[in-house]
Amino acid sequence: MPIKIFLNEDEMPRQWYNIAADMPNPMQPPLHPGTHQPIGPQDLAPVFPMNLIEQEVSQERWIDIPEEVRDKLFIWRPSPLYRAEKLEKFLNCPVKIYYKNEGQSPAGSHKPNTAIPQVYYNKIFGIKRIATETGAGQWGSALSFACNQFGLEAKVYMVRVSYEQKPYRRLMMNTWGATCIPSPSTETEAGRKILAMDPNCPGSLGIAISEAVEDAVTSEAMGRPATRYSLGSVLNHVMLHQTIIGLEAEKQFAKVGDYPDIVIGCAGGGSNFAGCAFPYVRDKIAGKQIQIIAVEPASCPTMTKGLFTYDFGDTVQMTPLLPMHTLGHTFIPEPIHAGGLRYHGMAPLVSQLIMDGLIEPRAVMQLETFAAGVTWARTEGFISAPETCHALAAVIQEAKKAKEEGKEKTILVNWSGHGLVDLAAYDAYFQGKLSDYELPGGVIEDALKALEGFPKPKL
Amino acid sequence: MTDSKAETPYEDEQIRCPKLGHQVSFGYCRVERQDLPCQKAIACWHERFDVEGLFRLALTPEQFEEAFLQPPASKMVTLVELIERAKKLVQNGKLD
Repeated sequence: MPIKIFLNEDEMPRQWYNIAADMPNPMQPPLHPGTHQPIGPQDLAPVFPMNLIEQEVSQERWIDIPEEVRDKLFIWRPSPLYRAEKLEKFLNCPVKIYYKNEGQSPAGSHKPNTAIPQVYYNKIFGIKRIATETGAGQWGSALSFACNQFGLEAKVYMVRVSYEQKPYRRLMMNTWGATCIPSPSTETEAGRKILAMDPNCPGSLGIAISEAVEDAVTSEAMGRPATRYSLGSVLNHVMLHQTIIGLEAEKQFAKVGDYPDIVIGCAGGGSNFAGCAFPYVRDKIAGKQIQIIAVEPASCPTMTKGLFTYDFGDTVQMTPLLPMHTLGHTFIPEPIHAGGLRYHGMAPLVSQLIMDGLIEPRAVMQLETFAAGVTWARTEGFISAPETCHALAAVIQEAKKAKEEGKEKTILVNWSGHGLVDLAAYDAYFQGKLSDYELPGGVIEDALKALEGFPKPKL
Repeated sequence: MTDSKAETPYEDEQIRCPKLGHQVSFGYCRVERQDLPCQKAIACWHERFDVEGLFRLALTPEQFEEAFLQPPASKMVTLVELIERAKKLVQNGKLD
């Protein structure tokens, strides 16, 4: 039995899978926060090229991956499917554990799977330059890499405190030719206003986002090359691009004559989970017996304890209203060391599939996730991103459950990224500075009260 | 205390910021939104010290409500209004 199952480049999928075509209950349109009416493509046209907006609303089941995109994806794709046999031996449970290694991309995570096509579609739309924001630099580095591959200019507004504290991903961006500046900057009206009040302002993601959007919208008036904005999570077209993960896995399983009983991924905004799971959700819709588990922190239970409703996706009620799982605007998640899992709203596609009973949400405790990450590192060798550790905790849970039930199981987990630039969280775990905290029921009820009066999606 | 920018004994305490993805000091969380603390400051720090009590003393009731009882920040950008805001800059000729 091989440890790694490879696909040749000519075996890499030629189409992305759009689950919107197979949803038992079709997605409902996002609503404008002001009018509560469905928003149209023109509302988003100042920041996204129309070809990506078309993908965002497409109902086509299969969407061709352009040859130019395939050529760039070949740099690290197809990604290997690993058999985690050393973990299997350690656990001594009746399970076969496979994982898709998405940490081997140039930027170290699944993010380039959508950065590459997003930049490509911008390019063929005539866009010359893309602006975005970043904190520690995961998305900024992925987008910088993609822009470099297609010869577009990348402008990354990096939160000043991150810019000063986290040089490595900033240097990755520079190496790929991007311009990365600290935010707030003097280059936008939003940044100048902040700096006028506080010249030493350390910045925030909110400020950086404002600067990136302003950069894109005002580019023509400012005489800059045609510019758009790019987002690396939550939106439908991001999920679409990530499905190459699961589509590859299907082919790799076929090569060894196997098929998973359980598919597991961590879910924050939902993109890495959706990318691995959606092709298997399609099989489940067609009648296949398969368990699909989306894992989240127990202290931020968006999927496991949240309410499916229309909610604003942001802090100041400005993002288009999307039907999603939410704890409401007033919910303040409890502390947990996994940045990617802290959104209070899940991707609408994932939320709807949970409501349809096709995806099972699960919450795991913080200490259990790091224990799983350490076990993984000491068996399989790879050091996982803190977000990825949530999925690994669920893998170990399922392995032990199989042993208790005396059943043989085959598990697929999406190993969404390495943690090599993020070891401070492990340090905190080793020093005993982390703790478990599960959100008390009363807090959730209070948060959900904030949503009373909002329109509810049809189920 | 009525000044959110008044320094506290916890200024240099470090914690991993779930929004930014790296360590930050409490001094940053306390003023993340200039005159207001980060919306997640209580959630992130409550096990280390009485951060809620500190902010109830440091902020007016109105500031406290604005800081912690409004929608939490997320990476999902406030696109539509930010677009409209930027469009107005162009229309009003306020670009430098």
